Amino acid sequence: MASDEWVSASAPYVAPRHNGVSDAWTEESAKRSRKGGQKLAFAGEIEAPPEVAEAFGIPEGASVVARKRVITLDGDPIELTDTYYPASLAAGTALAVPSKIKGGAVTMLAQLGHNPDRIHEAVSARMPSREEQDALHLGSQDPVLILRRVTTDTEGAPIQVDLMTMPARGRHLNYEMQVNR
Amino acid sequence: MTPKAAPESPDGRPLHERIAADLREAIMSGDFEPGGNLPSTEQLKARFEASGATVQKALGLLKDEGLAVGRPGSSVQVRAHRRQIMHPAAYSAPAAPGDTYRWIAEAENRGQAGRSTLREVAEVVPPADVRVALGLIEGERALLREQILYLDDEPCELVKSYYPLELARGTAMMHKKKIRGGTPALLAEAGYLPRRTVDKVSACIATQEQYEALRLPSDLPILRTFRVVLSDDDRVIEVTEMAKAGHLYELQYEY
Repeated sequence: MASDEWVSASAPYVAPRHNGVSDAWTEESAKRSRKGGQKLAFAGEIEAPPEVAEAFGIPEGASVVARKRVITLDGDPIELTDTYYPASLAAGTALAVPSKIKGGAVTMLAQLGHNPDRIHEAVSARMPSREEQDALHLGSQDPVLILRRVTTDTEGAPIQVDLMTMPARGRHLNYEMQVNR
Repeated sequence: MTPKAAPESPDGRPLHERIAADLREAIMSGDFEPGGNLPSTEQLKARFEASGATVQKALGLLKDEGLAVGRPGSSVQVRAHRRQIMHPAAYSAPAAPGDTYRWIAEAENRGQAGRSTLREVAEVVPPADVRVALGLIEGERALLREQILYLDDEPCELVKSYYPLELARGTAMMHKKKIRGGTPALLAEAGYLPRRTVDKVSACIATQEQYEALRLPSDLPILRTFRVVLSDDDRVIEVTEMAKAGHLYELQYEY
């Protein structure tokens, strides 16, 4: 598998942005003449949920920095994105503060010396919880897609875990691979 | 952590289904650890303001789905293996001559017994998305080869592969018989090597066919992969629709 490389439609969201450029989501949606936005629901240190602790290789319940956002399109909530950073890297930085980060968090990470290198994504599906139904305006019979993304830096260290919950209706995740064999 | 499911909830599902949904999420996210105990019936009754019978019905659903195990009267545990991990990259390339199917080899690497049954082989008018991907005109036919994949004798995936008839005619693909190494090997022999794979992953509630084929215990989402395999000059050689039970499987992509 080493020579077969997937590419993903997520690629614009994982690259650092230049100073002063709006975040990737705002820019991508503007290209399609729609209005993308996001609301920061939480930022700060919390106890690591199990799958986050596992990805970072830290004990469950150890401290991590979390940023929880509601992503909107034309004002409608279309995705819940919970992003986690190791406390060793993000505690005491703007990532742990509940206000917007200029150019986005990925750029901030790059400034801290961590450039994303490899992405590992896991996709699953399930029915929404009641909280998710409320937050995403879903009926009880509308499944959600769950995308778990682990980003490792050029040193091979996991620097970010994203847990994304999105309504499955009308939503596709795209992956493309060149087969080199 | 989990909100109470109030009896007058706007959620129209019966209370036991709502309780199961909330517990299912806590199991999936790892809040309840594999091998660990679920809260006791008494705790669940109190949390959800539900009767013992309703809590038992909710736990019964989770047991049917293979997420929990336990006998009446004893504590209910989260089953040790919560989600199977699939690496779609492993299935696209043809097996080497004489090898078993790639995905079966993958299963064996994980210590599981994988097998497949060939359900149907027929010339059919494909669904619209397949037709468009194959570049066919409306009403034009393609070859369908339909399989069910099993892991440890549980159906895990319904796979419908469509091939252009001009590639399939006159080959062993047309017959309802398994092909050694799988169809990718046969296509490769004919000079159609897979060069590029494009996957679109989505989720939806199971169709009746998927529900039956995958022996789903209740209304659960299906993880659907729509795959287009291209050979040289971007020639489409296969379009495959894969449906997995969403609560048991996870797809992994690395880039």
